[in-house]
Amino acid sequence: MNLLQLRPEQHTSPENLAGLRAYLAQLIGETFRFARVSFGDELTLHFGDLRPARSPKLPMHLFGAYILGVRGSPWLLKSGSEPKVVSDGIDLDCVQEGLGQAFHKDELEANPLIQPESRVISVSPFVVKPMNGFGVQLQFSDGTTFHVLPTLPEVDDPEDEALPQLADWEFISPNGLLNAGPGLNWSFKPTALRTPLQIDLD
Amino acid sequence: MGRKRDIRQIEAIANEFKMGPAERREFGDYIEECKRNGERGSGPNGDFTYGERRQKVPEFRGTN
Repeated sequence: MNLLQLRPEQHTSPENLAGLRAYLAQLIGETFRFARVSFGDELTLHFGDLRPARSPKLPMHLFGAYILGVRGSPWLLKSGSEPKVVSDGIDLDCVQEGLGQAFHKDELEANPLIQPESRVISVSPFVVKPMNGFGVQLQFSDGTTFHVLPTLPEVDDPEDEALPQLADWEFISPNGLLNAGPGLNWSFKPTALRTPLQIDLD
Repeated sequence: MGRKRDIRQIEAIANEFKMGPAERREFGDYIEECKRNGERGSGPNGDFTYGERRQKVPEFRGTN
């Protein structure tokens, strides 16, 4: 009996920015559904077909087939339909003029500032050299742009040293989990196949 | 950064209970939903402690 491995796990070097871009390209053309603030004040953007939660404790929750999670990193959203800008971890007092009116992130779930049914028209990862990490920019068909920046490295408190390292941002798709960071590293872990493709030679 | 620590704790619990990315994402939303519904933990500012978050896995999965 042979087992074919169709989607190998990837760990890649910073030179492979093109590879990172290629994994993210599956988001292009997908429809924006909603924004949700998850635990730890983590902003998540949901795209594509919606599915109900699998947990019986979340009967009203929906999830996009594609989810971008900022993992507590700084982000900035500039609306294409309203003169508004919203961010977290970025001081808008310094850059507000010309960007638009500041908008509180707690309002983002009710009004995500991205027009319903807008589609992702580009996804561009980039290197932030002073921080040695990956950022990503999304552009939407309504003119909205969304940026995630890597988190500044911090020294762990002793009690946190046993906790797993966190990516600067992540992208969940039906194909698997893409982690960008920390540092100039990214990885892709394919979704475990529930029924692996097997070829029985008997 | 406290928020990162919170997310890392969820990650650690997800690893311990062998959650995939989709279930881990749901679990984070569930803990947030508990907070929004007014549940309080015994940590600072009513936050759930690591142990309290961990104890929420069975109820989240409906196996308690």
